[in-house]
Amino acid sequence: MAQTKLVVTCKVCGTEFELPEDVMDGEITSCPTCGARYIVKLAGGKAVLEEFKGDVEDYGE
Amino acid sequence: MRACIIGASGFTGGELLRILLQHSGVEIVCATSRKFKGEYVYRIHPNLRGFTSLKFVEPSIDAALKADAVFLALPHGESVKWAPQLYEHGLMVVDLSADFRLKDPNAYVEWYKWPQPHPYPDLLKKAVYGLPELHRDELPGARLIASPGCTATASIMALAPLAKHGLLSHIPPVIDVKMGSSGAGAEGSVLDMHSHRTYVIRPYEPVHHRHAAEVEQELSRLAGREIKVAYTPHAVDVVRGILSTAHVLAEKDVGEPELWKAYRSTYEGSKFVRIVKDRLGLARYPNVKYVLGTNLVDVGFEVDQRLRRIVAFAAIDNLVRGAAGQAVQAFNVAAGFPEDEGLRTIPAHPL
Repeated sequence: MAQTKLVVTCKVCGTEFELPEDVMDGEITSCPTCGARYIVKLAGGKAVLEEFKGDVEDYGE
Repeated sequence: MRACIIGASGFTGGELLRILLQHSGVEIVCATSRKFKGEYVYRIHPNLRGFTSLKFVEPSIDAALKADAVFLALPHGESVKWAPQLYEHGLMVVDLSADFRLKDPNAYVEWYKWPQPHPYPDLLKKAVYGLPELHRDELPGARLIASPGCTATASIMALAPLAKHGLLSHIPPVIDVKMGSSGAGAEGSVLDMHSHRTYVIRPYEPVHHRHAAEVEQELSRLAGREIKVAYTPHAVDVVRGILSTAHVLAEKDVGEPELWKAYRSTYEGSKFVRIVKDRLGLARYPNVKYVLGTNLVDVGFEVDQRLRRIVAFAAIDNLVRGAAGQAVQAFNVAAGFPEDEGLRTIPAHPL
């Protein structure tokens, strides 16, 4: 059975991108354009992006 | 089309040769150099050995009249002696000097120290400023194209989205430009000798640099009001490349999504513009390293919420996008060729 494509929109740069068919709830994804990172939240066959605040660069040493 | 390059022994002349030799719709019928007439062009441009048996010829109007289009790669103040005659003969003229870039005839007295205003104000009006991303509609059929200055190109491209979308404040943007040594041309001064030029990071004409006039002209046109810029170039220790960093103190809070929209809508459909603002990967902002040898313009930005400061960037290859490549791009649009003909180059990596 063909699955509906999960297309999401980056909240930072507005790029629409497709999530993999086997994306899992809680998986971390990133925008292909600006690199903003998100946690994928799946519910009712839909995907929602939640901001990921995981890691930062630090060149300030 | 048959093309002639007047002043073909300089760096931009060499790049015009390199690009036009790869252009499917152009035959180079003459390349002039007073100094090197009779010599094979590859003796002066060694990278072209094996790709052409063209020889330099004496510069003359008669030589140029063999062509349909003439590229003037001459010093400022020289093109103005050639362009009117070539234009009168019905040729397409692409001028890489500054002689037809500024619309105000009096500006040449202030910025280029000419003793009197521009002698051909009517031609100035007809000249199209050859930055295709901002003047694409004016280019088809144009017969006089004024190709923009190198540091001006990067600075205008960095700031155009902000000017167009009302994001410039009444405080002049501060533009800090870094440029490579090839910007000084093929016949440099003593300061261009290796011993003086290597390890260099120094200001060059820190106030009143002549490219500021072009930047102000173009940003004012986009903003619909007069824009002044605080413009300071620096010479840095690379052969090619320009990075322009512009600081804009905004009058209101500006968010990243708003800036993405401004940059995207300004450069939508532009084959040579890449917006580089990435939180991942090895290049998170524009970097000259990834545009060298190409006609690409990498633009990017960052927001300093604390100061309401927008930092805008553009990286180009000064000899390609800042000169020969941009001239061919504009020529392509004017002559009806695909805009990227002769210019489809993926940057080499690593360099």
